[in-house]
Amino acid sequence: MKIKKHVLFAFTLLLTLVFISTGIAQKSYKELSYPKLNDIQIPEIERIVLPNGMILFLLEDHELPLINLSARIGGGSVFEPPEKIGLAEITGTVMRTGGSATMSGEKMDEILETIAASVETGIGRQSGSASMSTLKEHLDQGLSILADVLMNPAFPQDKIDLAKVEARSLISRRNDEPREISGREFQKMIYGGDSPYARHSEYAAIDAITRDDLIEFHQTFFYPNNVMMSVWGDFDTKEMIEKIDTAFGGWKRRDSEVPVLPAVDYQFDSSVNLIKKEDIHQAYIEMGHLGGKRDDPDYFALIVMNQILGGGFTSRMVKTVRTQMGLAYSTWGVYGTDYAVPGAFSVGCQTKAESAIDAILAMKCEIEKMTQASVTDEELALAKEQYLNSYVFHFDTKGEIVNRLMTFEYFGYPKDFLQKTKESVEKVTKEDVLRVAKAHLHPDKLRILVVGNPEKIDPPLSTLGEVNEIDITIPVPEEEKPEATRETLAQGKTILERAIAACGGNENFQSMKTMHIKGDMTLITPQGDLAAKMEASIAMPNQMRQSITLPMGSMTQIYNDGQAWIVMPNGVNPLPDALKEELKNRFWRMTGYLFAHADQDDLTVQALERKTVDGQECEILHITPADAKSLKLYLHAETLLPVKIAYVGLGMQGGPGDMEEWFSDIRDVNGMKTPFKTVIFEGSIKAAEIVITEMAINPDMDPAVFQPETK
Amino acid sequence: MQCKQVISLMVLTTWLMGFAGFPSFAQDLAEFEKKVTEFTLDNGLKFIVVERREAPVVSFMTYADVGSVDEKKGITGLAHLFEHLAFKGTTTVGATNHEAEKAAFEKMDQLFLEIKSERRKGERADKARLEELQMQFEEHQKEAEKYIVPHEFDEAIAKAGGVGLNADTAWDRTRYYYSLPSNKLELWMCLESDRFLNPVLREFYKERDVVAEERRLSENNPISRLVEDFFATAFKAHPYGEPVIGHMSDIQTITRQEAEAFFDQYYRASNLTIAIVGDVDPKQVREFAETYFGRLPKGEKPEPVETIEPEQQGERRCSIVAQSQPIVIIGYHRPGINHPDNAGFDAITDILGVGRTSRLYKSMVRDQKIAIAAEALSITGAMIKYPNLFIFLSVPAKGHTNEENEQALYAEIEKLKTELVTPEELEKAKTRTRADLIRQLDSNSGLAAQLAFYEAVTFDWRNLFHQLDQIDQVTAEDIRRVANTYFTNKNKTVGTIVTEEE
Repeated sequence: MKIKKHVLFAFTLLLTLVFISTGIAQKSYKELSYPKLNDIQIPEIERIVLPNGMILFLLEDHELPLINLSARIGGGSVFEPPEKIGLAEITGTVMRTGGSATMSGEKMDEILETIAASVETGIGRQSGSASMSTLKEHLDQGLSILADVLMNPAFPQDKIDLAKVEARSLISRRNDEPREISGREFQKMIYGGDSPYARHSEYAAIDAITRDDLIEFHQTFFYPNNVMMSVWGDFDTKEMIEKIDTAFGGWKRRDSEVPVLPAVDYQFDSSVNLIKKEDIHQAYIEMGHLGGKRDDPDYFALIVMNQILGGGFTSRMVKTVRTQMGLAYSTWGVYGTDYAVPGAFSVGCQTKAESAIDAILAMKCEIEKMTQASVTDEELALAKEQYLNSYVFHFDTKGEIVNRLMTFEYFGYPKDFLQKTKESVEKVTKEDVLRVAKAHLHPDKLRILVVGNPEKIDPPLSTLGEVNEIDITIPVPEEEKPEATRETLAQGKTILERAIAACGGNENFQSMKTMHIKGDMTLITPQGDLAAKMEASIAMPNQMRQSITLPMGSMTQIYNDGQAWIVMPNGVNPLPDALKEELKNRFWRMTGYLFAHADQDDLTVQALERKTVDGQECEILHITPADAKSLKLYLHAETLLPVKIAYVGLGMQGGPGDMEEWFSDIRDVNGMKTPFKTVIFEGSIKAAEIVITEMAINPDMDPAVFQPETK
Repeated sequence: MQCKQVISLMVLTTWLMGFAGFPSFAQDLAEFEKKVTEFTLDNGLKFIVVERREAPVVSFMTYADVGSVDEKKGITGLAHLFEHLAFKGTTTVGATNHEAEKAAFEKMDQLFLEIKSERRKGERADKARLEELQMQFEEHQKEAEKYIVPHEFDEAIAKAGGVGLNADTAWDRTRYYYSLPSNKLELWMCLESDRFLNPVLREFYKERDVVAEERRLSENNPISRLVEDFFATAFKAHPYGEPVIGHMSDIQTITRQEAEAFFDQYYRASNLTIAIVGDVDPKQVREFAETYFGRLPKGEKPEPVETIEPEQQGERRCSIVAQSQPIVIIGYHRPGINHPDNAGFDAITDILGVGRTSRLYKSMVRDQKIAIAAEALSITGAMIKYPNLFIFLSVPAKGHTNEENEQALYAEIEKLKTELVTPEELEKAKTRTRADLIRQLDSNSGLAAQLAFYEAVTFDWRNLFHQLDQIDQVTAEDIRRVANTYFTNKNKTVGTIVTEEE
């Protein structure tokens, strides 16, 4: 018995032992204790001002045979003229691609890529930048190219043109992706569409930028006492200073100063804004108001608040919108702060269109809660520990350490700002978080932006208030108008009168009240030709209805005295402004209409120099109606019959295109010469062909055809 | 005549010198190998540890050799859904009472099957019954939620100062990663081993909704829509033709049982590779690894995909119509990363598509101005294990068409097939590959990712360095041969975005 007990006891002991030994492995993470963290080595950074005023920050790092440099230059696109937005960016690009006075951009590419090094330049909103990265042994080559592009950029015209091709292409692509649309338009909603902190380029601005502008922009901002450089890698500090001093030795200090950054003007208010994007299933939601600056004493408590509201997987926003409601893959909420100008407070997510209102209300509710009740002890502890324990990652690469110091100095922050931030975050209390939330968040004054398909947003956005629709159609620039003189204007009128006479006479054209056309249309697409039927009715002076029928269905556009609609199988919609304008311009692109309205006083007709096109000598008239875009009319020099028209219109890809319409098969209809065949080109690419099969002048016309049917 | 020879001799010497300036790859590797410790646990789990004591931080990469290619029809998107669920916790992390929530899960799963079968009746489904089932389902969901400790896993890592916590799924693989202050090594050991020992697929149905939103998000992007269609056109048999995110109908009908079976089959110790880079003592890593990861059961390494894409019989084309500017992609079937021609494709990528001296940039962007970007690439890291596609892509400049760009790409491809690349081009490709590698050594997390990838897919992490050796051996003739072998019309798939007229 006793023995048995002993055995049993031994058994239980053994079991316990076994249990304990696996227990060690299966111990909960909560029971772990950790050794002390190895010291964070905060290296000494050498700061030196060169005789020419350039400020250097240097940090040796001998782990790998690499040397990196990054520079900040005072200035930025906030200082470019409003009619030349895009100038700073193009200047920053062409400085490098265009090479210098002594070495072409191509030669630089060749040298750098052969040694696997890089030198790049750019100009952003609030500063310019330059960088160099090279293996240690190629430092001299890298440094001399860097110095050359900063000091002596050549800005050759061909590289300016190349940068403009890219700029225009990016404009044409800017509405392709909803994320890009919502990000860009939210900034404009907060700072204002014309604000230097949100505005963006347009075709007209790109066209207006000249080589002289680039030279001037470079001269205004690129001088040594306006440049800071940080350098890190495998070098000897003293030697590096000498090398940089030599490379930039010829650059002379200048007595000028970069203007102060423009102020941000903001009134707190609420609004609901919609951008229609019909081809997406989700609604992109971004809402908020103006944010703050990092020199605000509340900044440290705001860091903690941000962490709790929208900082990563553990935040309230993710817990509610993603995890509990399953409404979105990505959601965020951040009170944005910047160094020199206020950031933006932005909360948002992408969700299926039907959930848009639910998501908006849920996010708004989270903001309100932030301002109404104190956060929990657990939330505060988590947010602070998260910040403080990950502090070490501010020091895990040499590059970020030295660049941070340069950034602080550039924006006038103390060099120990990060350490101060850490100490201040340590002291933040729940009361601080509530206080700064109350002071800085305004849940009742939110500007809400939704990009999506309003037909699928149910309940509709109007449940939140009056909806302001934002049109993001890309504006097509007005064509450049040649210098006009009294002589060329008079000459223009005369030629036009002669053309009208040659084509059937003023009386005939004046008597035209309505017109009806039927025709065959061929659209030329990369996949092959597409045949369509077209039909148009026109009533002078401002009514038009045109329909195109394709195998997959038909589409009708109606213009009636300033109003315009599109009719498709699934319903009637008002035409967006840009398309409405395009339709209005189309009246004048019909020679019959043009000839009938040639007597208008406010029509400017200017004769341009004769030219030979397609083997025919042509008179060219530059015609500008009072309320429509200008066009060029080419007339056969002898017969004065129309040969073609040229204008900047809506191209095949939605953006502005250089359009041409070539006329042929000119026939007599009611005594008026009318082209029965029109071939349309965009640039050098044939886009479409129209052959008229039936034409009636002054048929009876029911006014109802110029109204959108409601069936 | 003589003068010309002198010049070419000078040129030759310059690049020979330039070449000699680099430490040779053998030196790179020998130097680097000193810092590497590798070991395999009894259960087959492989570890690669790199000691890098620059700062007191450490990065972790768990590479699971399972991706969307391992799915079957009807459960597409499961590999990715599982990746999401791997953040929901374990039997001891993420809930207060696992037994109780498990009972609720079982009821929910049963109800979901009933809902599914009722819904299949379509218009004839019993609406009242569906509503009733749905109500019951939600009740049990509420019951399960009572026990949840939301985001306990993420919070434990965040609290410890973890950064970069995330995971991603591709055709070839699933990766889980983050970085910690280096004194928290044991925390990672504890959480990560538990994650693959006792996972609980908590909040299963809600996470499916989140993934459905992620799918919608990708559908908004015209380029993702094109890419999905493009791969579906190029691959008729191999699962590279299926989208990683999965088809919407599959995402919405996958069951927890299917997810658990997938885990059992593919998340075995022998199918995982782990790389750890940073301020750690390799000995201690090994001790911890044996204690924590030694708990994972041993199991056979799962079978790879055995389907081989049949030889293509002729050119294939696809296009999507979108409110978007044009894009053109051309793909040619090419062998996987372990084929001897891999280095030739890497050289072509560099010569055609990298930098301002690359052929595509010079011809299409700079001189003809018909594109704003043009590239040639393989999807290394995501779709490279099995025979895949070598891709040419171009973004037309405003006013220029896909057709023009496609023809311009063919002209460059034709040149590769008929002319030899220059010695300078080849040399530059070799130099840059080496310099890129050196730059990669600068980041703990980047290095961990590379080492795990090479170990898992090429069976030896040293191939990260050996690829330099392989690219050094590529000749101009090799490139011409590779181009002629693979870049044929019969082997080609073309995808375009056609702008929708408004």
